[in-house]
Amino acid sequence: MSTATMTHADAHGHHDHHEATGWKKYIWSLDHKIIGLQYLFSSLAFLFIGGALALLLRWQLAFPSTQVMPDGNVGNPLSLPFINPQFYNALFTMHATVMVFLVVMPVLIGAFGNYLIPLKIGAGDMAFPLINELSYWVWLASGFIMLAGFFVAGGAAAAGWTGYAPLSSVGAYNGARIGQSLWATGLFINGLASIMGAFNYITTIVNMRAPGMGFFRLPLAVWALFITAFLLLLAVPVLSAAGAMLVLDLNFGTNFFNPAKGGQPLLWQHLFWFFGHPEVYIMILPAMGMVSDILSVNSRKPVFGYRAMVYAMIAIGFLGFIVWGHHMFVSGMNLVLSAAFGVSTMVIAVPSAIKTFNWLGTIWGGSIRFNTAMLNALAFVAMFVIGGFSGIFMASTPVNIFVHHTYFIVAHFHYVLFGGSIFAVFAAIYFWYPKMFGRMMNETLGKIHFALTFIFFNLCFFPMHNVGLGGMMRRIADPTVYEHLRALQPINQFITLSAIGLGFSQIVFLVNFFRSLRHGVPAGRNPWEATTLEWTVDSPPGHGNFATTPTVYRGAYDYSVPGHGKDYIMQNEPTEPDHPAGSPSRLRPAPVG
Amino acid sequence: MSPAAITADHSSSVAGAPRFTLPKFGMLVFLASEAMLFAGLIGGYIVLRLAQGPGNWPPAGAPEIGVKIPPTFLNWVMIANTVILLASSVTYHWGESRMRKGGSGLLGYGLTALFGSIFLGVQAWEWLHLKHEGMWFDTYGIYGSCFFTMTGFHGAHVFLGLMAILYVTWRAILRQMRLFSGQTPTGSHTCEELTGYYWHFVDVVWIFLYTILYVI
Repeated sequence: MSTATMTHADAHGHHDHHEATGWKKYIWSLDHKIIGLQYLFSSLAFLFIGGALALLLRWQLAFPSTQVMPDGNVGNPLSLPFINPQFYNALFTMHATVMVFLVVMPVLIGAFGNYLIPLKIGAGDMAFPLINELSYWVWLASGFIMLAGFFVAGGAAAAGWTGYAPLSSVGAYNGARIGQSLWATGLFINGLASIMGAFNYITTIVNMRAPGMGFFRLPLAVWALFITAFLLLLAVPVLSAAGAMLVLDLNFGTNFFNPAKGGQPLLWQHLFWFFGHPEVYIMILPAMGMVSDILSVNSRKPVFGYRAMVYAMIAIGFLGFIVWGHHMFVSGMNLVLSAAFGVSTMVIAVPSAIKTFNWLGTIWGGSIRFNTAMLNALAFVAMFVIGGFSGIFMASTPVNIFVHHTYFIVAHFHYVLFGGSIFAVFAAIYFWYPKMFGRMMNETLGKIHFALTFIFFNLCFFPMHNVGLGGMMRRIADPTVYEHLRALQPINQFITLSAIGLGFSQIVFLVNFFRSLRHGVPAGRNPWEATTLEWTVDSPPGHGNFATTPTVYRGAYDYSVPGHGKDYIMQNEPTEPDHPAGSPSRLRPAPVG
Repeated sequence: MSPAAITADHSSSVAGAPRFTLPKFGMLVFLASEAMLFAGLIGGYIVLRLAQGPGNWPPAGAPEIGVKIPPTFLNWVMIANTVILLASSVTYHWGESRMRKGGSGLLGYGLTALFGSIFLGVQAWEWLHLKHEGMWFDTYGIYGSCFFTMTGFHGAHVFLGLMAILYVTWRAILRQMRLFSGQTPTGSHTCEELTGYYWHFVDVVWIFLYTILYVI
């Protein structure tokens, strides 16, 4: 086999590009690992911006600046006077926009997708390195464009991250025509970056797998990113179309969402949620994939029901396209149609439950290593179950009508987005940090960070279920002006204090992250004794990743194989003649070494 | 070696020669995304237009762009323009097949560039004509909004495609000069193939747009 015996020089010669050096390496590198790190650091920076916006929101809800005190004085002594209702609207709009488009998507897909896909499939780089780097800079520009809204007349976009028309499409209604236009333009440009990433990932995974790496030998993280890329590819352009219509309505007098001139506000909701629901799975599928891998490694057991996990993710990806109507039950939808959307939504519980039980099956009876990555991965499973359950509530039209647009919804999507995706991001960072930087993160600080985050997260978001069921609406700048919400104000203040605790807990993470860059224990190639290909190379891997293209002989989860000396078998370890390949499934016959 | 070589090596070692090179595969996947962009625009158009009810389309007083029997002057212009755009796909294909047989393909590519430019020019003329008649993004309700947005998106795609075709034509000129001097043209045809995929896609989109905006 010629490919298996390629020299390093040959492998290097396969690339269009050479290793960039010096400052250029970090500004304009075509290496997927550097691009992954660019995404990682940028999206972590945006995470702190988005978090700061959230804390301002929470402060206003606990100590409203618009509050009328019993003595007739306006304003709470603790309130921040610069938060007026318009600014509050901009805060929650931009908090969500930043978190969705500049944190969760780029950190899961941009950072870990870029870093892990070529390493895990045994490729030297992505299929289109130039487009890869371009997508990073286009994405970063989109972030600055959206945030620029804070510095223009009228302030940032203030119509919610869902941007419902006509609030979003008429400057006189949202009071932030320029900010709203920047927001929609930013989404359009952000979409370009997503699409560039998506077709790059798909092309890479389909065409550049190492010899022997059949589809059903791919680690689940790669499968998840593969399916996610299809969702991005097909859902994001629809948002781009809607965003373009919004910019035109705001600035050029078109009437797409203007009912007085024959337009339809509901059209926005359909286009937005046609994108928006697949978007939900775009933000959780990569997390599911990475958590599956981390659970398996740290339980020293194969993933339970590997193929079922793959088919479940495909099913989730497909169903994600036909459930968008469940966001619109109160938008005047035909009841038969809403029942249909309700049923299709509940069907998603089936593949989701398959995944959950398979995660439990994976850790069941394993020799579990409770390291920080594993703790975060376990938290992902637990929090995802809570968020998933409250999701089923909303799939049912009668319940949905009751809880619609309340804090119950806010609790739900934070349980899947923070409890799910962000815990998975932490798990992934603790897990792959040694590969990225060659050093281990500090376990003690990691566990302190995990414990604080887990506790404060639940203290912050669980009571939101209660205030939501108590009738508190989303997106109100001051709950105390509503008679029926005044009794809930102590809970709101409790939530705010917990949110502050949650925010400050992340300092531990920052300290650990940056301290370990210099002072961490050197990691070696395979600190977790994992089987997949990224652990066969140096930490951090050199330019071009593999000195010789690896050949894959088995699936990604050969842990604790009976009759084997150590409890894991690397994917590129040749099959012994008397010991058939551990993987039950393979698309292509293993090459004869 | 190009990234395509990696694919060829990897795939041929396990599953025979690949059907597509990496760039061609990537372009096809990308075009699926482009198709969804136009699907979003066309879907929105259908929703908006159906809600207008019968008899209200086009709105009273709006310039007539739909095909009439007998066709109006504007109808003939746009029919001719559509034929020209479709012909440009044929000439492109012809240029590609000449190129594959060792020719330069210059005539085919040059004609494509010419036809593409004519299409864009006529499109610009139609925009100005309609604007002169009082129809623009902000008039006649969604009639103007939809027409200019959809043809505008398509026109922007044609423009990008035309830029690529001008580059392809330039490459063909270089090839032709080599042929004149008795050399054999070398080098990959990836650029031409990718541009071809994109150009044919833009043509197909126009068939849909022409049908829903002008015919139905």
